Amino acid sequence: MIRKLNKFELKKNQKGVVEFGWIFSIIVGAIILFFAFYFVGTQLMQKENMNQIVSSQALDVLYTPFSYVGSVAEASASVAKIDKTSTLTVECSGITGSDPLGYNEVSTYSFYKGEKNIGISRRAYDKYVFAEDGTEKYFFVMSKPLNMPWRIADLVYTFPNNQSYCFIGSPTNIRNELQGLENASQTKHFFFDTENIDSEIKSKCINVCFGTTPGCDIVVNSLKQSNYVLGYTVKNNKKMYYYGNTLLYATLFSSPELYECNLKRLASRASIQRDLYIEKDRVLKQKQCYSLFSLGPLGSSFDNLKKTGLTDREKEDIFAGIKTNSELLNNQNRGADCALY
Amino acid sequence: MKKNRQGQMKIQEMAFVLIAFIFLLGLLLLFFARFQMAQIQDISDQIRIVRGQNMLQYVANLPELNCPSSFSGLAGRSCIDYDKLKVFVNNGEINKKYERIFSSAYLSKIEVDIVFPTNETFVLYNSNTQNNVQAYKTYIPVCEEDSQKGSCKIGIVKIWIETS
Repeated sequence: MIRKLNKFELKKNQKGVVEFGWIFSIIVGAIILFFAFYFVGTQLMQKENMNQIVSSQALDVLYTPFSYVGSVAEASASVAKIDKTSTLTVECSGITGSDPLGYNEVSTYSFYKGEKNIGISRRAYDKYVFAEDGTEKYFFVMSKPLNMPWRIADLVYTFPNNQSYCFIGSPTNIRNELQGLENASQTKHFFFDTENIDSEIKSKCINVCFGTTPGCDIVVNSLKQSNYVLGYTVKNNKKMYYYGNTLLYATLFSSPELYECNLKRLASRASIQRDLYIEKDRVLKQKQCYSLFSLGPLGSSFDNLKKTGLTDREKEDIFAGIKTNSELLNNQNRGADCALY
Repeated sequence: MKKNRQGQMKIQEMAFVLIAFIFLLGLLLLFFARFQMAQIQDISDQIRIVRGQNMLQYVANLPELNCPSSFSGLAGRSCIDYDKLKVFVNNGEINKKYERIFSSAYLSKIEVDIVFPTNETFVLYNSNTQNNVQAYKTYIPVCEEDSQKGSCKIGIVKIWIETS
């Protein structure tokens, strides 16, 4: 009887050991699975972060403060690649009392299963980015200094790499400059000989017409017989006034709202630089450098450009004034004992 | 009784194996994490160095400091206008308007030192931050206009970038 009981107890114990073995297996399995999922999860997260870093590096040209292309080159161009097809947006915060130079906020976002994934978003205080919202993996980026008459800043233009522009009746200097930039970046976005281009490209092309021609997406008009040095661009039924090729390109590649906002930021910067040059002029005079620089009228034009609610007529007058005074100041600078800029 | 002991031994064995297994797994993960950290640190150092060097170029080529066209012999190379530099440093009203640009770039201090033939120091910006900073510097000509031909001095642009 005692022996039977022991056997029964032993069986019970053995059963307990088996059950315990199972429990251990489950625990070990759970730990292994947990670590496996954790490891894969962190790896994916890390990869995502790395991709974002790579993207942000690629778009460094849009984000990094300060610009220096203008002091070493007439213009430059390259293609920026981001990790996945994303929409690039550029917002502009205008000038305020506490923020006299404003800023651009450059962001990327993509959609995955209907959900909006915010990529990178950064404020650039020293950048003047001209763009329209566009979705692509590759973006064509161009930069050109704005000299009015001194170098105010370098402007950055960007658009999706699959976008093309067909220029109709453009002046030779614009054609040469844009083609030169394309060759340097080994891309093809600008077409000038519009009659001999592929029909597929032609159908996708954004038509830029110099002078009024039917079927144009963007129309550039010249003012005061300046051969498009001074003029205005009509895009989305809105007029954007400009002086010089640097601002003309900005009107072509930017939305009208962004253009107007960045223009005010640039006017504010030019206004501050004018104050700096007035001081420098004073220093030069103390060094017996006799020269006359008419900084006043140009400064007034910049101050006027900062104002809001300007009419088309007022904008036209301001840009005409900037052109006249820039040319005058350029002549004064060339003939001076000591150059101002 | 003997079988009971055997069972207990098995349980202890399993517990020991389990602890050893977790310990080994932990070590492996620790090693892997260290390896990953070192890699990330390496990349971040590289990015920081490139960013620092770029920032030096950017500061040296600011339109507010750039040399006039009369020093076109230095075309393609950075050059700082001595008179503009003095105005920029001494005119607090102008200087203040650029503070946001400098701080947004995580710059904690910008300085231009003239080292030859005279010794002068110009502090363009100083945030007086207590954060960790990394310094970068480069030599640059600092040129000055005068009624004769103008002259250049040897200068150093120094920047301090916040690292944390």
